[in-house]
Amino acid sequence: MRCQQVEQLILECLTEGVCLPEEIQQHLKQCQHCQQTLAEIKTVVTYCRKETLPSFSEDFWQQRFLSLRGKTVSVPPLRFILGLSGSVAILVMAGLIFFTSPGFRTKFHHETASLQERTLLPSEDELFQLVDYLKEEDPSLGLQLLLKN
Amino acid sequence: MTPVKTDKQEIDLDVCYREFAPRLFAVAYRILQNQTDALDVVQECFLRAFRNRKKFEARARVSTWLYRITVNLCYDLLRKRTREKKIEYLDNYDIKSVPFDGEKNLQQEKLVGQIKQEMKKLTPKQRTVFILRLYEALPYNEIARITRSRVGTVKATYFQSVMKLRRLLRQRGVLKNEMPAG
Repeated sequence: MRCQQVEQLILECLTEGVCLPEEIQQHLKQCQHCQQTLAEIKTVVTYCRKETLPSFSEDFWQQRFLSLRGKTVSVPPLRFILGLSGSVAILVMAGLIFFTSPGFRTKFHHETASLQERTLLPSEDELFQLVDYLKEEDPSLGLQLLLKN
Repeated sequence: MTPVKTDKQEIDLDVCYREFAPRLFAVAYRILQNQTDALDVVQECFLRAFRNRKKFEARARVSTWLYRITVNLCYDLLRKRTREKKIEYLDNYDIKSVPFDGEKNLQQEKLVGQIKQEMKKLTPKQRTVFILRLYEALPYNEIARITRSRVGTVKATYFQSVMKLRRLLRQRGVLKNEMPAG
C-alpha cells in the first residue's frame, strides 16, 4: 500500500471517528513517515474539533425568526406596484398635456366658434329668401339688411 | 428528523428555521470568521429560500439547498470584502478564541487559535469543503451537490485542505511535538 493512499485512509478514519483498518495498522508499523502523518493529522482534526462556536439561546433564534417572518409577509411584487403607478402617472400626464396644450385649445375654440357661426348665421339661400321676403314687404328695410350683412 | 415539507409541498419556514438556523450559522461563522456577518447570512439565506420556495426541486434535500444558499452568500461576502480591499480586516476581526468547555488549557487554546489563523489561508472552496466535512460531517456526495462539484473533486479538496493546514502548522512550528490526548 502506498503512503499517499494510507494518508487518505487515515484522514477518512479520523474524520469518521472509526478505527484504522488492520491493513493500515500493519503499514504504520513499518513506515515512520506515515506514523508522523497520522500524529499530525490527528492533531489537526482533534484541535479543529475543539474549537467551539458562540452559542445562542432558543429565545434568540425565536426572535430572529419573528423578525424574518415580518419580512416574508406577502405583498404584491414591487415590480407590479411600480408598473401600475407608472402607467397611471403617464396617463394623467398625457391627459394634462393634451387638454392644456395651446394647439388643443386653439382647435377647440376654432371648432366651437365655427359651430356657433354655423348655428347663428343664416345660410346664403336663407338670406336671399329673407331679402326677397323683405323686398315684397318693405323694400327699403330689405336693402338695409342686405347691406348690413 | 422533522419533516421539512408540508402536504402542499411547500417549505415550512418555521420548522426549517428551528432545525437549520444554528447549523447554517455554524457554517457561515466558520467560513466568514465573523458573528454578525454569519447571523446576517442566515437571515438572508432563509429570506431567499422563502422567496424562491417555488423553484425548489422536491427531489433535492432542503438541507442541501439551504447549505448551498448559505455557502454562496458567504462567497459573495468574501468577494465583497476582497473588492473593498479589506483582507487585513479579516485578520484583525473577531479572532478571539472561544474558551473550551472543560479544562482551561492555555496551550490547547493557543493551538486552536493558531489553527484558526491558518485556516484563513485556505481558499474559500477548501475552507468550505473542510468545514462541511469535518464539522458538519456531511457525506461527500452532499458536499458535491452543495458546492456543485464532483465527488472526486470534493474528496481531493478535503485532503488537500488538511494537508495544507498541516504544512502551514508545521511551518509555524506548531506540529513539532504536539500530540493530542486520546
